[in-house]
Amino acid sequence: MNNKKVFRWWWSWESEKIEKWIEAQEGQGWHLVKVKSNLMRFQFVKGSPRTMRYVFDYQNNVDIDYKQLYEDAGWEQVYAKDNWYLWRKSYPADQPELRPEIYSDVDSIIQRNNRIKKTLITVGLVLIPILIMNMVVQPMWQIRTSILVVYLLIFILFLYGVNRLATQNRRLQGKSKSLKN
Amino acid sequence: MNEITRSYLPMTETAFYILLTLQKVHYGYGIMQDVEKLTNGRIKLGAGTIYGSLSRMEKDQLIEVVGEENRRKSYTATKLGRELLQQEIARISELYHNAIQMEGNNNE
Repeated sequence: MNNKKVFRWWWSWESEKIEKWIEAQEGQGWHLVKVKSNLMRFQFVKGSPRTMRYVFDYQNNVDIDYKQLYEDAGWEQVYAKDNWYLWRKSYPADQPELRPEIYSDVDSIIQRNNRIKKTLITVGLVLIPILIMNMVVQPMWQIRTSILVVYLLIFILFLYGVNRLATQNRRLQGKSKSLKN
Repeated sequence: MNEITRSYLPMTETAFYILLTLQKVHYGYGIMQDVEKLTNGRIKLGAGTIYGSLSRMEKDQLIEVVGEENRRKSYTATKLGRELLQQEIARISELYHNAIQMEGNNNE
C-alpha cells in the first residue's frame, strides 16, 4: 500500500494536536499530498521519512502579500480555504530545536486565538435566530424538543471551545507580561 | 499621545526591531533577515508574527506602505512611528546607564 486516505475530526481550538499528528505521519514516510473536506480528510503517499513542520493559520481577509511573505520565509502552502491555511516547511531531523514557527511571539498566538474565538461566537450567535425560527414553524413538540437538545449541545460545545481559547490566552498573557516579548 | 500609541510602550522586541529596521524602506522578508542579522540569530521573527505586526502597525499609523512589487509591500516608519521609537530608545538607554552605574558601584 503506497497511498492512504485518513479521516480525522478535530476542533478549531486544538490545531496543535493535528499538526503533530501530520508531522508524525511524515516521520514515518507518509507524505501529505492533499487535504479535503474542510481539513478533515488527509491523503498521504508513501515515500522516505521527512522532518516537516506543519502549522495551521487562521486569518480573516488576508492581504495579497500574505502568501508571498510566508513563501519568502520558506513556507509552502498546502491548503487555503475559509480563512484556514495549512503551511509546511522542512527542517533538519537532528536539530529539533530548529522546528520552525510562524508565530515567534506570544502576542501573535493570542491574536490568532482571538480570531478563532470571534468566529465561534459569531456562528453561535447566528444559530440563535435559526433556532427560534425552527421553534416557531415546527408544530410537533417532540421534534421541537429534539431540535432544542441538538442546539443546546452545539452551544455547549462552542462555549467549551471559546473557554479553552480564553484559558490558553490568559496563560499566554501572564507569560507575555513577565517577558514582554 | 492616545490610547493606541501608548499601548506600544514599553515596546515588545518585535515592534522595536520592526520600527528600527523601518527607518529605511523594507518589505516583510527583508525585515526578518535584517532582525536576524542584527541580533546574531537570537530573534527569528515568524512570518505570521511579521504579517500580523505589520498590518496592526500600519492600521495604527506607525508605519506606512510606500510601494508594492511582485505581491510584496514595502514599508517605512511614519513620523509617529519614529517618535515612539525615540521614546523607547530613551527608556532603554536609561535602563542601560542605570545598570552600568549600579554594576560599577557593586564592583567597588
